[in-house]
Amino acid sequence: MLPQARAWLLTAGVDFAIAERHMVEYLRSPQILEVPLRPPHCAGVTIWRERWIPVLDMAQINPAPSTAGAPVHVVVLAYQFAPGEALHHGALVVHTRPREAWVSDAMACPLPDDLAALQHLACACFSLDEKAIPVVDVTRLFSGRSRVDH
Amino acid sequence: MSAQPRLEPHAAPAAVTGWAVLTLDGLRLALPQRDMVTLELASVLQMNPPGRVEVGRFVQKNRTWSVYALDAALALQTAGVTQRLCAFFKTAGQVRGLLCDTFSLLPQDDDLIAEPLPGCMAQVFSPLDGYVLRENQMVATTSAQRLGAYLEHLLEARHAAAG
Repeated sequence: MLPQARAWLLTAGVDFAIAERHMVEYLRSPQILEVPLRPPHCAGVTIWRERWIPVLDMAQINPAPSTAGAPVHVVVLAYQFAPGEALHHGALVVHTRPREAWVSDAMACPLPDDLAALQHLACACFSLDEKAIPVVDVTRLFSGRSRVDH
Repeated sequence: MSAQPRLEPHAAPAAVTGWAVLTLDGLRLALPQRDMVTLELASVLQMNPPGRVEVGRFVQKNRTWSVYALDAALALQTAGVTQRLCAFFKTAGQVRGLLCDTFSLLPQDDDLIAEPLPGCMAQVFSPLDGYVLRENQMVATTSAQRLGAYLEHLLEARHAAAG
């Protein structure tokens, strides 16, 4: 039997997934505060548990159909740079409620050309319902270590 | 033996602590108080015609300090400036003024303990080095050195664009 792992499927113009362990909370229509001189893929910051966290928008990293008018919710994610180190938090824009999925090695597929902008952020890619879903490395995304400079 | 405490004749002055918090078009921007020089009313400045990157000057005795205006996005404002105060800050080389709507002081360094920007928000020329949530409002932190370098960057970009 092939090993399976749970992942969260997220939609923000572009469909992608994150490993289950990163998910902390889903916030419906939170207030997103714009801050100056943020990169294009940073929608701003939001206040969560009496602190601010960055809010990133994947649709600004990988070209996506217009999502104007779509509801803006966020998922709060946790990440750390090494096991045992402090947790950091950030949020991603999503337009629908996250869905869970079981993913196995048998579902692996190459990253398609239309998701090439995610090449440096994707740690895997799988096929679900005949659609390629990249798995985003959350630590890499929020640390900016693979920033695509606009 | 005297009962009077003896004062050191050359005791070092107490270090300046705390923050100066300026509001720029809604943005709260904090600089260390030790970087500040003075606060003046905008009405005492010599204002330039609209369109100049240096919106005005503060002339007193034999010194002239340039004055700039930034909006909430930290873009240079060159016209329609309405701020009524000007906070002057010093870098190694010079003193510059920044117009602001309000100005307040926080006495202690730990009145603002900013969280540094995560890598995903870092921008090469940004003067901001962190944010802190204070009384449900975001305050961006910077320093005179970073703010001065940012103004230099904006001025160079303007000159380059002008050809």
